[in-house]
Amino acid sequence: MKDGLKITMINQGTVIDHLPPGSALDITNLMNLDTNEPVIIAMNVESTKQGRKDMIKVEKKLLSKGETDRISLLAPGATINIIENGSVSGKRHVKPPGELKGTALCPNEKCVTNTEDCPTRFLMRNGKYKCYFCERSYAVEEVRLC
Amino acid sequence: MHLKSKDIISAADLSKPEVELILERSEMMLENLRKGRPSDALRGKILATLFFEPSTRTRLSFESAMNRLGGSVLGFSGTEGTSVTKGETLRDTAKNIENYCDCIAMRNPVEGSARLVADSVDVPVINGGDGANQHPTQALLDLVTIDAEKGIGKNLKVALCGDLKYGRTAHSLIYFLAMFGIEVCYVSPEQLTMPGWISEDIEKRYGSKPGHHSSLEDVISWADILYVTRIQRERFADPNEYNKVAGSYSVDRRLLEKAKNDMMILHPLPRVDEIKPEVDDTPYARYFEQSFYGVSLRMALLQLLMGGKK
Repeated sequence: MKDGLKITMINQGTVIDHLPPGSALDITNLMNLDTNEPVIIAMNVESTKQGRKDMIKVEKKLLSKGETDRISLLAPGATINIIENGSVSGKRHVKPPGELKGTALCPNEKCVTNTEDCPTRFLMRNGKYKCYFCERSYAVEEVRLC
Repeated sequence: MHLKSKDIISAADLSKPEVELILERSEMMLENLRKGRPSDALRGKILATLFFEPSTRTRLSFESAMNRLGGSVLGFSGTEGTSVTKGETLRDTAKNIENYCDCIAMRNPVEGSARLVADSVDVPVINGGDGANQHPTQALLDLVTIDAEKGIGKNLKVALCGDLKYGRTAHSLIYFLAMFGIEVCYVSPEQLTMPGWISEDIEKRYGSKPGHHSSLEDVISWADILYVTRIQRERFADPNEYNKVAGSYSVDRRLLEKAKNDMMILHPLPRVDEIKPEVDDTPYARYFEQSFYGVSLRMALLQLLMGGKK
């Protein structure tokens, strides 16, 4: 039996696909989930694109921008499918956003965002995240989530 | 173009026309200073100097500049006697002080602190040094010195020497040198090279790609300007790391035998042992004149930011 057939479909909501194997639980923790609605997590299932992948299906939920930004840092290249009446009505690939506001910590311990009560801000510059305050630049994978 | 109400936080924020305007106004202020012309351009205006860490030249030259323009100064040097010792946040301190002044000049050891203050208050903010990040007014006065003594844009070659990793002056100055197409090379121990994010940024913006040397001997006959910085003990978390690089460079008369006759040595000061006192009396030494230019440069900035008459 193919892995795909083991994973129940949802009627309304969001499917986050093409997640790196092993990342689904971390990503689920980043999301504001309604515990009254079904959440289906599939890990290490077969993928024609990437060999193995994780997948999350959430009934009756659309992702906020903050949630999408967080997912993009942990799983750049993931796909978000919007499901309506059991069919895919919209699809987009997750990519690191041009600006991160309050979603990531500055790795520079001497940055003012780590000493004052001040929301962090990063701007994408030349493929890296530049801290708006201390001006240091970091590769996407170096930026830690709040 | 004008700079009224603009914050001066990072060299990276300034465009070439803005820097040229500052240079032009600084030259005008210098002429007024030299001719002893009094000015009341900022009469009735108040500058607050918030210096959370030590400063001699930056704070006093800001105060001198404001006084010379007929304005007044209030502020503190060190946090003793302020509510900071009671745990008041930087943002709260700044938001209160903006009620008492028309402009804030500040120094704080925390990187990004000046940006945070600038975003929190309505008066213009000038960064007089935020940790190891930026010191744009020092770099502007360095540029004023280079322009006055050599003229910028004349195929100048500058060797930036010393602590380029933690040296906020070097972090700011490299933007202005690259902006004006001045050829630069770095001279530092391997552990103290220019941070990658700055080198990448100036290459992307200006196409500037300075080479790196570890020995002053390699560049002394090449340079028109030798810009020396102190290796700053206070920036090292580990004293052993400091000890490994302390005293890496020493400019003395023997080294200068190989220099061009009209080469000049600049230093943001204070120095420790990187320039021997025996150099002070040579024609190469211009670091004391350099601090003189700090007053006219800061007069220009204050006047431009607070919008007083020329």
